[in-house]
Amino acid sequence: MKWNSIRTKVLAAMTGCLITGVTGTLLLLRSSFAQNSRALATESVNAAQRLFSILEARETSKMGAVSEALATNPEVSAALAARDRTRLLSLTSPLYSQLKTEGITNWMFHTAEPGMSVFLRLHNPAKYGDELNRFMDKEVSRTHATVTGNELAKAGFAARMIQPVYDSGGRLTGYIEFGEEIGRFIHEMKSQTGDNYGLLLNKKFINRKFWADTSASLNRRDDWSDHGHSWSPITRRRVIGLFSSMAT
Amino acid sequence: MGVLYNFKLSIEEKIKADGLDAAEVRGKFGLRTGRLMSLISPSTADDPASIAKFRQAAKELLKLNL
Repeated sequence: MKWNSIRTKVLAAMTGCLITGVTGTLLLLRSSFAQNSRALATESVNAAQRLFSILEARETSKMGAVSEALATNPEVSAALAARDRTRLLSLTSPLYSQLKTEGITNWMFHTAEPGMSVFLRLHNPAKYGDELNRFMDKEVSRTHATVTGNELAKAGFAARMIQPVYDSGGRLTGYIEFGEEIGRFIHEMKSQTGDNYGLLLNKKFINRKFWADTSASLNRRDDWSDHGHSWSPITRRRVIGLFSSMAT
Repeated sequence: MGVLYNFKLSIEEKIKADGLDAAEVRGKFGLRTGRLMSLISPSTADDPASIAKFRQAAKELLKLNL
């Protein structure tokens, strides 16, 4: 083979062009694949956010209808005003069975100020008298208007609604609260989309002892240290998973 | 299926016709029957106990024969 022959030079040029072409095409395909993957991932996250908002709005609306019907009930208001826990429990417990099947996992009555405390927990009647001091409690106490939101509390992370209860004379007798655990939303999202979801919380905003206590009360493994030295690749924050496994 | 939902519609009509406080009446029905009207839909299963309770409550609260 003569290295300086025209044939060799043409072959070399053609091989060079082929390699350049193939390499260029591969790089283009790789870039396009990465771009499409990013776009799909972003769209998937956005769709999940939209779905979560829709589910949240639907459940909040449901809790609103339930709350309104009960907060305006004279028997409920009278029992709360009289601090008659037994009467309040007998009035409301039959209804709690239905609400549980509708996904309302937490139902509480609070006393009015001063010393706003839990008067009755329908989901745990034996436990009462504690002051929760959560943001939503302070807000409803400050505004005396219905407050809705998502909050992490002893019974878990839930979408909640707290509404004041007044007697026929317009005096505040206490508060009624409904909550629906977020875990139910996550399961519903999975059943609708087929995707897996998890919830990450920034440890900066979580009290260590609180997490241990709630884990114990919910029979959940205390997984605080599982992610203690790692960073979430998604949020770049020290995180803890509220759900140790994905929704199934 | 549909009996409880039809009861709900009849009660809502009666509330409207009599100009009653809808939330208060719904609350009373809820406590008496153990079922909240807001959560009754056309697909809600009819159970005889709830049907009987709704009939009784409608008669007592609204003088309505369902």
